[in-house]
Amino acid sequence: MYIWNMRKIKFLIAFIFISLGKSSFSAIVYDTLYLLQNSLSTGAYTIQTRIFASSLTDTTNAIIELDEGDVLQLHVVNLDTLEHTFTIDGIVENNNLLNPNGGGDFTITFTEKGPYRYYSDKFYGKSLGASGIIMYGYENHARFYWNLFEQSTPLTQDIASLNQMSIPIDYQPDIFSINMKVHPDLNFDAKAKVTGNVGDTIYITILNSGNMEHPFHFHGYHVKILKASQNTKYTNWIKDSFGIAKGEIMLLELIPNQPGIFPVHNHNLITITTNGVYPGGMLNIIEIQP
Amino acid sequence: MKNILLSIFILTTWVVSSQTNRFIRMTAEMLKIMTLDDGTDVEYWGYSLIRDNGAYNASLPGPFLEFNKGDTVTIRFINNSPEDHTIHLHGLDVDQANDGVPSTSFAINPYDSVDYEFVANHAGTFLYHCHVLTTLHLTMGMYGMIVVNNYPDSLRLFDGGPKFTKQYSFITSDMDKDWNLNPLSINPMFSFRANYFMVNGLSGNQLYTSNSDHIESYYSNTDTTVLRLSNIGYSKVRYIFPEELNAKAYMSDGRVLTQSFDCDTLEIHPGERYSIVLIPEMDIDTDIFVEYYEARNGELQHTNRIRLNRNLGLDEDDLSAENVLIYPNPTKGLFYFRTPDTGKELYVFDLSGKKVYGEKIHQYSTPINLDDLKKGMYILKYNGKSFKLVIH
Repeated sequence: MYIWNMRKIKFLIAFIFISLGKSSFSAIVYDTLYLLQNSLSTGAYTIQTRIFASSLTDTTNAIIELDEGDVLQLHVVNLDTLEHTFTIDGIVENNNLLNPNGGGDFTITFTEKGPYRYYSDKFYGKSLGASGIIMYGYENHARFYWNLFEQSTPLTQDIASLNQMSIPIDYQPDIFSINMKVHPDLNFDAKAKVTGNVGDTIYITILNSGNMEHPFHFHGYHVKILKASQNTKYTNWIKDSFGIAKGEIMLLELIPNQPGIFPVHNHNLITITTNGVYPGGMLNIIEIQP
Repeated sequence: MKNILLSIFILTTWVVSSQTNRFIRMTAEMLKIMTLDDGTDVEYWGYSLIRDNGAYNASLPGPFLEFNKGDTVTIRFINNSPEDHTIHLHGLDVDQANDGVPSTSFAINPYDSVDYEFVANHAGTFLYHCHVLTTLHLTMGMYGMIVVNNYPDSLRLFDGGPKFTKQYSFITSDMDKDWNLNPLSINPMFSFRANYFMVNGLSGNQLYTSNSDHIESYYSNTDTTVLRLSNIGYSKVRYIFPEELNAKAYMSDGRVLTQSFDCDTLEIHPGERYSIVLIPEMDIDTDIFVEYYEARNGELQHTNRIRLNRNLGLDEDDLSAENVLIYPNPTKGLFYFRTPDTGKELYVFDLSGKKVYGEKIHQYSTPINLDDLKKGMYILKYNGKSFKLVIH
């Protein structure tokens, strides 16, 4: 009985310390990203991509989630045949070159809660989708992520072979994706499809990794725009429709006030197509239980 | 000249009543023809209100709808077309069953009907559009605008917000003319490229010379005007307001902004809406510019101009300054007769004295459609007073 009581007391002490918040005990989070050559195919169209994957078999840019107080110790390996950078605006500058088959180590401390965009600043990196999300904080709430990316099949071939070093004026993308997936596959992406209950506080990060502006529209709900890295006028606005600039990252707060299944989609309606046919592309779902 | 120039609203359709249960009937039509600014005739698809006598005539954009905050609204949608359609109530946060998305609720089959029901919980500016094969149906013309007044203080933008004396609504949109010329041959859909750009369905010279789409002369600098702006096109638009209008944004997407802001320029993304207040200086004679930017390359594609301070051909002596508002006037046929003195007969006579229309006015604002009459001037008689109406 005495031993059981001591075990119980030690457990309770440990539980109390943990419950006080992990920030009281900053954790170093170790992670590795692999910059890979990849592709995204919808059948009729296939675009070349570059991604910062969390494993050699992943097909999408990694989403790194950190608790408040965590320090990120990141190892980035460049498995492309061209040099890249690993950049986080204002935090990791873009002069950190990663040679082919080389890598770099980064110790990253965040001071402000919210999402951050990491990317390769090389044109053939970011224009082919090498851009992802680090989320710092908000760990006590549901977090979802939409990494928007579109491209043109023939153009990605030219970019990948260094025959094109800018987005042309007649840019005509043929694949429109979220997290390197298209509707209806987004229904099976637990990081993309928003789920929850009425009254929950849900955080949604949108990153526009694409090469054009994208406007998004929510059915069924309005959201509060907590952060917008470029369209800063939106900060703290309550909206159902808004534009997301190239390279912009936004944090939205959704507190659903009704149950239901509602679309949330790009309102440039050519982007909600796959293989040139509706519906598809950047069409996502919110499913809220009572 | 003592008579006060009445405010002439540019909206083509308003349905206004006190906060209450509201019931309207709408339909959809396809194979309609519109003439573009360059004289080309193209096909469009659109919505229409159904009049009490059963008549309808789809327009692009669809009829402007107006409700009061707190109204319980029923829209009976009767699909008089050979294709499925829906009505998605954009920004009104209706429940799933009434959201107008086929995959999560239903589509209305040809010649079938359904009731959409919702409560207009928030004052503001909203949209509606078809959500069947949305990429095609929307650009073919199946869209319109909704305004929810801040009832009971309907001449205030929101509770505690600015008051206004005049109101206009502009819906910007675009089309790829090739799609409207050949709607059955449009694949792949990502090839859509807007090459015709509109405000309230008009473009270029059509818009600039159209009496019904201008902001008319300001009688005095005490006028405060609200602009309800919405963008349903594929292009981002940018409004450029003359400095003398002192434009200020107060609301967006049916919500009051945390901080109003001065907006000599205002970008509106597809699906977005804004409510802007203008406090104009005297003697303005200039234009509002509306720029359209291609989404894929950010390039400016077109600029439309909305004329300010234009004479709409009304004879001020014939207008009752206090009790009656007739708008738009001139009109293409559909106009609103607004008066608090309800219960009397309104008669319309042509210039030969022949009575061509008669109806008892029951409500504060009554939609009247005379689009089956010939173009010209008509005389409205109500409560012992006469008014001129121009159908153009």
